[in-house]
Amino acid sequence: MSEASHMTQHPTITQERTGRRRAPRRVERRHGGRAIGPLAVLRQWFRAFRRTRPFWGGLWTIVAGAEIIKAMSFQIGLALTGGWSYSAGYVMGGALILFGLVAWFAPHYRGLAGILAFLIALGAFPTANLGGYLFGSVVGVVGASMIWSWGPKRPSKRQLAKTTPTD
Amino acid sequence: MQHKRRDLTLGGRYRRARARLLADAAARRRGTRRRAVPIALGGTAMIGAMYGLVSANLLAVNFTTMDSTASIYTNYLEAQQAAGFMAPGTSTAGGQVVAELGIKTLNLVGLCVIEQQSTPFAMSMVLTAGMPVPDPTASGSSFDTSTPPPSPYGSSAAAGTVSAKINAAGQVLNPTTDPDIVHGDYGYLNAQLLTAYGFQVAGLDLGVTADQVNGPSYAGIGNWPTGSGGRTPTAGDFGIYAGQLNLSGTAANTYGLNLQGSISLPNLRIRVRPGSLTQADCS
Repeated sequence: MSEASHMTQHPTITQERTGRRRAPRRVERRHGGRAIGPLAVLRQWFRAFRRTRPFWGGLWTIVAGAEIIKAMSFQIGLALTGGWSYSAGYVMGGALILFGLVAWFAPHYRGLAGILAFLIALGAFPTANLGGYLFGSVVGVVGASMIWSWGPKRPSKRQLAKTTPTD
Repeated sequence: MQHKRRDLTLGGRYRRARARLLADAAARRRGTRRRAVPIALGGTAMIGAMYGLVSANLLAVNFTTMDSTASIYTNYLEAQQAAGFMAPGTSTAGGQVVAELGIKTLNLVGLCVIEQQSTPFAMSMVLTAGMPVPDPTASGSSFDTSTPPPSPYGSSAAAGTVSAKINAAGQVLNPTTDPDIVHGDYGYLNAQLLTAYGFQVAGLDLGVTADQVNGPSYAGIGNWPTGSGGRTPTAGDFGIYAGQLNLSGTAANTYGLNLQGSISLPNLRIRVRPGSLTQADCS
């Protein structure tokens, strides 16, 4: 499918001439010509972003990592020089944040990221203040499972109704 | 034939990426599939199993706090090879002078840690392990550390139970097998206030030069946990050493609890409650 055909099927950006160069206008138009504002454009982009990657699993994993770091909130200098007792929170929590970001920005690696995040969330329990007082480990496990299991689903009834020709 | 020139500007690239994203999102339906449920349940069960192992005194954990105020209570503390020094104001303690205390081997008859969390709203995390640590002042009488408490083991309510855990010499019985005893190695405490009744103190040496009190000639606890400014003892500073330090009814306000070794947390229980909590919430 060419880019031009995409542009006809999806919201397009109306452009206007300003001298030699084309500058995008801030107002977009749908097929029917109804104008949508910047907030709607942002919402549209966010919805597409969310639907093309394990967004919620990544979010929970990032939240879990942040909680584990917060539960072992040391100064970064102390974490770097004080040994495993001080750095465990940054290592385990940081890894969870990293794999959450991988799930967001490199969703092709979601399988590996999900498995590693799952193991790290479990490992955080004995190493990092009971996995951020249980909350970090539990939320990390749930988020990692969501990342790992994210993938194609059967079309919804609404989608099927749209695509299936009716008599 | 007229070729359409590809817009290579940042705006053009953005528009193409956005068009691809929207097309990809519309192309097919994707999301979290049901196979996440057994995996998540299995993982949660594994955490529950580890929690059980910690509670049953079969799994030791790393537990370290700092930069947050925590209150620590125990019915009885048996410390072997304890060292301490006065640390100048640190950023972690809000600029206040604190006492650094390091213990090579410690046994606690019951442990209660209350950590106050201020963000995003005021709440407290209560961690209890071993046997309950009732508030000695709960009966209404003030706990005066200058005179012996009702029992040398803390509150009178727990006295009978606590005294059964200790022999006549003040040593904790079965520290590694009794589920009422919390056992740890190489523990460091950064305390602003410590109140207790000194039940048995042996080998006390006051005025040891602070830079040697942790060395092999004294406590032998290795290097102090350092890294944030001002916590390293310097020669000539006041230090204290005790070969045996047994305290009952111990309460400490700390800015950090660090266990370089491991700690067993039998009968572990963690509760999170709104607001500020006191020792009365430990039992």
